[in-house]
Amino acid sequence: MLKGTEKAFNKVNAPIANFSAKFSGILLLVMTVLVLLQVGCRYILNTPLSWTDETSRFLMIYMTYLCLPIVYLRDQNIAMTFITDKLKNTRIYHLFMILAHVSALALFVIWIYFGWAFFKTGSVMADSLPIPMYTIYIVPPVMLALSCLTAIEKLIGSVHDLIHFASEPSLSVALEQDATA
Amino acid sequence: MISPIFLGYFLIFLLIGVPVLFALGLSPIITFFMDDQALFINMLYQRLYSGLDNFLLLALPFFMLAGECMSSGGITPRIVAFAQTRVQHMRGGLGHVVIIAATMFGALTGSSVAATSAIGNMLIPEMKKYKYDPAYAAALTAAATVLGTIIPPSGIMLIYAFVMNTSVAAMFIAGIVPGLIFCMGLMVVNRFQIRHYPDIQPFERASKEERRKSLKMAILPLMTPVIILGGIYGGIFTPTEAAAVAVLYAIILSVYVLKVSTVKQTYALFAKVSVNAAAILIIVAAASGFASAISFSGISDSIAVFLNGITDNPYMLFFIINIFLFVVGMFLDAGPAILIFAPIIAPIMINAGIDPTHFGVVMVCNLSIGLATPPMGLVLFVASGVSGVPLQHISKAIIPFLLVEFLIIFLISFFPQLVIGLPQLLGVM
Amino acid sequence: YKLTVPHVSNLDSYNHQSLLVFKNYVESRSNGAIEVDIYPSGQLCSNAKECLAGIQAGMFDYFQTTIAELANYWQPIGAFDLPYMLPNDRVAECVYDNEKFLGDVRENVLKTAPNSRLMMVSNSGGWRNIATTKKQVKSPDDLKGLKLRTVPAKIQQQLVKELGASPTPIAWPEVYTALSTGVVDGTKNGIVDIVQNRFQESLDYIILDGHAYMGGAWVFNDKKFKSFPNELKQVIVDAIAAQNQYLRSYPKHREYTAYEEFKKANGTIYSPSAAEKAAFQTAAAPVRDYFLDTAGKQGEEWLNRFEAEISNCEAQIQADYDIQFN
Ligand code: NA
Ligand code: NA
Repeated sequence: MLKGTEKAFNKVNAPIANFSAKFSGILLLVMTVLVLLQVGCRYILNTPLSWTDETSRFLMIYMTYLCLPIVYLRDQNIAMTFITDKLKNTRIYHLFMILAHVSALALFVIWIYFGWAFFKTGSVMADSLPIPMYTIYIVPPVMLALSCLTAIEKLIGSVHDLIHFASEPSLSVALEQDATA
Repeated sequence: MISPIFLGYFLIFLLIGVPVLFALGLSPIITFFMDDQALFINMLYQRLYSGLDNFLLLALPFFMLAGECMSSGGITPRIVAFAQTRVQHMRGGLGHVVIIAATMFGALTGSSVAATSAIGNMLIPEMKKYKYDPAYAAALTAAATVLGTIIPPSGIMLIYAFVMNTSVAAMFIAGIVPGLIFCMGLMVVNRFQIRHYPDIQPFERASKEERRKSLKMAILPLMTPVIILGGIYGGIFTPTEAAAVAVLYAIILSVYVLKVSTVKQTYALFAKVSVNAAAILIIVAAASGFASAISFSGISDSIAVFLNGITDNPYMLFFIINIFLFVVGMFLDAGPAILIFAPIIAPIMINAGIDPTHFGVVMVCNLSIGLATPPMGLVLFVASGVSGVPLQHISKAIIPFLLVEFLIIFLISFFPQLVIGLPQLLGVM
Repeated sequence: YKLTVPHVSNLDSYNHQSLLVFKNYVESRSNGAIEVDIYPSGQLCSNAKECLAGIQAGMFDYFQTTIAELANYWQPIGAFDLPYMLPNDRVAECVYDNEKFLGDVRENVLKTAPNSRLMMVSNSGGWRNIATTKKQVKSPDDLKGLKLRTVPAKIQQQLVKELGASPTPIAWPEVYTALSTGVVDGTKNGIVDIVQNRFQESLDYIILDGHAYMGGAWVFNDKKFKSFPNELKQVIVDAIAAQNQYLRSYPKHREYTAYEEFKKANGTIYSPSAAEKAAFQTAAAPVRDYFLDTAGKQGEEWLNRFEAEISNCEAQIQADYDIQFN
């Protein structure tokens, strides 16, 4: 039952995460080109651009938040694991994992709430680009909302692991093993 | 004002394995709620957004990208070969090769872990073959590759400059002399330690022809630091732009000149690096809010009062802070450690008359070495993974290296000219 | 009550010092009813946009922003930042002291930047001048091809372009290095800011063209202000007046030593003749058209109003001269 739900969530989460990660790769490429353009125009052509700085900053913000779901999905969030690693084959480990995913979920919900409030202050114009700031302010709450789905998937996986302790590994563990194999 | 108790929550979260991002985000929120100041959670969120809105931070993904191009593009063997032909004939020559290669690799990339896996994969098997104790080989590699974040460019120097609003260019150039001192210090330790392994024979001196050939192979990659620092110092670009230029140079080199990777492979790196960079950048963002909560709690002032009660001597302060940072480095990754502790400690040091760039370099060196201290150290983990030697064995073998590195930290703490002399000489600070 | 006051400058800055004047006045005159907590160095918010969003959210209570930033909310206010408009300190202070004028501005700002109550437009480090590293600038022609570090505000960028130089955005912490290494050939700042950041080590020339007054716009948490009883409102307004005196006298008082320091570092200070200054004004004239094109009808109205206020003040001051002279 839990397994099925986890898989169903993964069917939605994985494509979203993969797509946004690919897209953020393109953004990184564009950022690189923009900054090189900035150097070239200033140093070689002696005509500095005034919009590349702000544009590349905004792209970086987009890139960072677009990657939130995939970072979570791949368990790439930096953690201090030297204690939990020692507990890996115990039930307590899964309990701690559940706690981690619950705190993530709680945090995301709070951030989305305040992110929405911040979004509403976004009618102010950007410094050099002719765009209102809400075009940028929108991306964190949206991507946090999508990350909630990932957190739920992970949470279900951990609950499953806790209940069916030592019987079969959850999807995320199985995926991890696939990756390392 | 809020209660500084959230630092305690943060620690508990970390200990039970909650990722740093969530711990950073949630612990101050809890305190703001409990202290009935929920309004200020708005501030935590705003920092989450505008903590990233900084041109300087762009250098972080760029240097990661340049590093990936360099280490995936078959450039490592060229650097190792160059180092080999220079020092292989000395006593403990292969050990010296690791140190020299790590120093050069440090000048190409902004992170340590990449250096550990690249150099470790090549040289640890080689050292095993020539009768080095595997634990010693792994320990040496770990101790040397922390230079990746001490020698410029350096991701964590960027983070310090970001947090403390100081010049990146000054930080980078200030890291050069300490980096070279670490390099020499490690070579001295290697030279002494090698006495415990009488079976190890030095190699024959490389021929002139071999040296020339290896130089020719390595010269283009080794031009990277010249381009980065030369370009910054020559007024062609700012540090962030230098990072983008480094990416361009690495791509041209690996795809078109050395032809060690393809356009498609390089393109794939962009997607890979964007994810890896995002994992760090989001922590930078969350830590900005955390740092604001720290200011709000007034804890920095309380610590300053406490420390000033003990001593007002800057040397003594440095002594205490260095030991504290060393302990922090044992448990915490360098980036998060700077994000959390720089806003607390740096103002105290600056108040005591210590130059912010000087303190920054000392802090960066200390926490870089923390990457190779047990129980928690990414470089150590990678070295263990590459060598197959269990962590506790490496942890023992690395002690003499760490001891000397720690001594060098005191050296550069007490003699500021070793750090800020060069940037002052070059007029960048 | 408690006031949370963030700012983005360091502890030595005039903004911080002026806030100590404010804090002392408020805390002592309110008999401790109001407490002021100052958070320096961008600890709570790192730039004007973010700090203003904090004012809007009701978290922060008082903050110094720029006219340029307010123009991102309400474009007509950008008229006040047009180059070579205000002739001198006396006129500038007279214009911004006119409570009727400022009140009308306040009303408009409040409409577009919710909860941001404009309290005063004070001085922020004195007149902006063009300072260069290698070349003495005496006319707009001398600026051709020079890269000048310019904040990303549109009017300032436009001004540098019209004068013939290239506006180059450089983040503040990197300006020192950018000047020293030659990424840029100059900067436009007040002398006080130049010397406070040791820019004179690279800058060798400054021309006192005085293109901008760059008023510091101080905004207050409107809801908080309105929640005070009138006695406390009065304390706040008076405290701000005291703070204003500090901010306005600071550059006048600091200017002398700052120029001495600039000269000591082999700097040359050039005062343009009336004809030379006129050449700058002519070259900068299109900035005004640019503003009128982008700010619409309301922009034009406010530009006219601003000019009328300037003429009024000039007439007033002239009347004072007349009394003295006759
Ligand atoms: Na490096
Ligand atoms: Na460690």
